[in-house]
Amino acid sequence: MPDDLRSVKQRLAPRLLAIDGVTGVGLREDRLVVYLEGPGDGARRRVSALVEGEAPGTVVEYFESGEFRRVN
Amino acid sequence: MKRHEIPHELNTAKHTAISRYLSDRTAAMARAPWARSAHPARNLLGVGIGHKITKGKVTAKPCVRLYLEHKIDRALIPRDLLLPPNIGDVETDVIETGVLRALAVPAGRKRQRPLRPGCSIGFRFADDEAGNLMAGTLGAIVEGDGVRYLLSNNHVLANENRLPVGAIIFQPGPLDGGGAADDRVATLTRFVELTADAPNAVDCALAAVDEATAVRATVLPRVGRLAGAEPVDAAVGMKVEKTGRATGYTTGTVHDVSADVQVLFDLGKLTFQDQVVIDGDDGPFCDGGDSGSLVVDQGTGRATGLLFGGGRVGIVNHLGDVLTRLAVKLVV
Repeated sequence: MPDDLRSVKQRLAPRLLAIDGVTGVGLREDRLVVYLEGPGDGARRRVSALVEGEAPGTVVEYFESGEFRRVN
Repeated sequence: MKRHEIPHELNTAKHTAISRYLSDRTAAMARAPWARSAHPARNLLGVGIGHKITKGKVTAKPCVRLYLEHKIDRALIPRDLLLPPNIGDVETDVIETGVLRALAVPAGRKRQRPLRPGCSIGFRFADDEAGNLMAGTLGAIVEGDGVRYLLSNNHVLANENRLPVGAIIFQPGPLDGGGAADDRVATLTRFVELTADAPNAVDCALAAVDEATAVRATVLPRVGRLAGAEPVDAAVGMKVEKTGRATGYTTGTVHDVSADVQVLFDLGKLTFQDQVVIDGDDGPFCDGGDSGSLVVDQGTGRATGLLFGGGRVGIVNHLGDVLTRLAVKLVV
């Protein structure tokens, strides 16, 4: 996994997690993975604008994970 | 159609079917295991009321439903054993259900002596939370400074930082009927504090095993005995398994090993950095009550994570981080 992708994740994660509907930010092979509560377009648009502005060319994979809760 | 709205003639037809086919169950008991009987007394398992299903579609026509263990081609059934197309003026509909069985209580929710990872554990709520019931999962038996501990999550053993050291841990957890004096198995010893003010890395705690409590490190079926005490680092694509108190044995695939996620706790929405994300192979990897389950790499048979959260996927701490923060080693 490229080091620069790790640093992109580290730099952008707090701002991505602040977007309503984003539940997580991770890495998978050569992509940034953004975990979403649901299928709405709003969060995707805001994520896309942020990543494009701050780290152009970064490939983003969206994963609808639902909201995360402790499991008991 | 609600229960109190069922017309009288439908109820009458249903009760006719019950008295005709379900009242003599002795014949059903006598069947050989390899045989399939067309006899209604042996094949009919239930009678109900609903809308008739024709060519796979639910119609508006009310009917009496006849639930069969096996649907058998009408041409193969002796004429005197055929179920009627009508009972009085009400049509019948035959639905195949397979054998109906009582849902068994998962092994992990029962009392386990010796204690084994995968079983139900928990604490009793106190003060303004008294009356609530909880249960989580025992992840592993670990050791440090010659003391044996139960390893699980902070929120399973320490109620999200709120329980004092020395709090009593029960097996099974109170939600599964534990809480009596002889269900006591351990006492809360230490935990890594959960915080809403900064990112977290782990959700973990230890409870020292009572002298009188027998423990065995082998995880409940089908995970079994770990191949070694050293954890293995999770990797994307790794096939994993766990046994938990709620969903029992499940398998999954590692989707991510460095996810920063927000997880809902009583303390609020907590951020966890560099977590493992696991996608269930055949349905959900976990559910409420599985917190604390040990996640094991199927390839090496060694442990890789400690489950604590989830949505449509499981969220897991790296086990190496957990063991380092608590300064303990796995017992195998």
